[in-house]
Amino acid sequence: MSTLAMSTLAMSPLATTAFDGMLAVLIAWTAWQSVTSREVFRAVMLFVVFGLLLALAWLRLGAPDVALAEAAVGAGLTGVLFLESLGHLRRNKTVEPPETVAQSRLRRWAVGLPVVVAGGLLAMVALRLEPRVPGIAGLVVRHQGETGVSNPVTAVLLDFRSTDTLLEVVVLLLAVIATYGLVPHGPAHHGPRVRPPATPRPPRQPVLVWFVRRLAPLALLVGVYLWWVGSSAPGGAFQAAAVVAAVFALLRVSGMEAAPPPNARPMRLLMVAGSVAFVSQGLAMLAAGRVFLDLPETVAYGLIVSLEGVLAASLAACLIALVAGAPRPPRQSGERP
Amino acid sequence: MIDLLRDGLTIVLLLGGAFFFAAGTIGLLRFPDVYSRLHALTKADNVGLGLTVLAFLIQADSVMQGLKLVLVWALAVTASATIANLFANLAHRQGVREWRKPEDRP
Repeated sequence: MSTLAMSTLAMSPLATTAFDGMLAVLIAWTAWQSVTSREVFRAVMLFVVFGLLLALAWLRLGAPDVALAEAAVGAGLTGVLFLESLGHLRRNKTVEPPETVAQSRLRRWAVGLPVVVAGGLLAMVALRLEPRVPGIAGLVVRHQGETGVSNPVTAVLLDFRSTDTLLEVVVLLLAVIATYGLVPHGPAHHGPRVRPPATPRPPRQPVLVWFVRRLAPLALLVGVYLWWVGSSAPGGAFQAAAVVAAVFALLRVSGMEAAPPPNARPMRLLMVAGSVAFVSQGLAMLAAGRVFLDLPETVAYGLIVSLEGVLAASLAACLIALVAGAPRPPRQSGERP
Repeated sequence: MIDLLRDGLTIVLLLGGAFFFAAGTIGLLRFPDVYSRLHALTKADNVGLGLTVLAFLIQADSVMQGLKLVLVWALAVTASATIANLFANLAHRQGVREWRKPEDRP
C-alpha cells in the first residue's frame, strides 16, 4: 500500500492499538492451533492463515517487502508444498506400527525442548534490545545513490549485503538437489519396492480450467512486474519467482501441466543459472580489481536489474521443481509398466 | 457539500459491506451443511467485498486507482466462485447429501 493510502486510512491511536493487539493474539493463536492440531489438513490450513496474518503484521510494521515475501513464499508456496506432501502421504499409505507412549513422549521432547530453548533465547535478546539505536537505515539511505536503485531494500539485498542473497539462492538450489536425491534409483536400491497403486486422475473441473486460463497470464504478468518494480518499490526476484511458481502449481492442480517437465534438462540448467550468474558477477568484480560482489557505481543499476531477472527465472524453476516434487523413479527392467 | 455527501455514502457502503461479511461469517459457522456454508461464504466475498470496494471507489484519487480496486474485486469474486464450485463438486462426488428440514427428510 502506498504511503498516501496509508495516511488517508490513518486510524485513531486506540483503533490502531486494538487492531494490532487483535492481530498479535490471532497470530499466536493460529500458530498454537496449527502446531497442536491432530488433523494434518487442518494444521496446514491454519499454517497458511498464520502466514497471511504474519504478512499483515509486517505491513503494520512498515515492511511491505517482507510482507510480500511472507505472503508469497511463507504462506503461499510453503502451504502448497505442505499440501503436496499431504497428498503424497495419503496416496502412499505405509503401514507403520502405532507409536508407543514412550516413543511419542520422546518425540515431543526432542522437538519441544529445542524450540523452547531457542524461543527463550530469542525472547532474552528481544528484551535486551536498545529501543532507539539508529541502526543501519541512515547508512543505507546515504549510500543508496551508489547502487542506482531507488528501493533501499533492493540496494541492501543486491549490493550492500549481496553475499546473504547469494547464499539464499544457493540454499534453494541445494533444496532441489536434496529433493531429487530422494529418488531411489541405481543398483543401491534393489530392495523390494511396493509400487503405489495408480491413482485415477480426478476429472477435469471446467470451472477451475476456465478460471486458471484467465488467471495464469495475468499472474505471470504480475511476476514480471514484481521483478521490474523491485528496483524502485517493494518487489524483486524472490517474490516474482514465487508468483510464477504459483502459476505452475495452479496449472498442475487444474490438470493443465505445462511442458517441459520441471526436471527436463533446460529447466535444470535454468535452476543452476541463478547461482552461476551471481557467482560469476562476483568473480568478474574480483577480476576487475574490486572486492567480491562489490558493484561499480556506473553500472550497478544495470547489473542489479539484469541479475534480478536471471534470479527470478532461476528461482522460479527451483520452486517449480520443489512443487512438482522428485521425478518418478526410473522403471527397472523387467517391471511391467 | 459534495465531500460530505461522498463521505456519508462511503460510510453507508462500508457498513453494508461489514453487514454482509458478518452475515457470511455467522452463516459459515452456523449453517448445517457444506453447500449452505459455501453459499454464506460466497455472499460475504461477493456482496461484502463489492460494497467495500464501491465505498473506496468513490474515494479514489485517480482512474488508475479505481481500476485497481475493481481488479481486486473481480479477482476475488472469480476466485471465490471457482473455489466454491470445487468444494461443492468434491462434496457432491463424495456423496455428501444436502441438509433438509427434519419434516422433509424421507
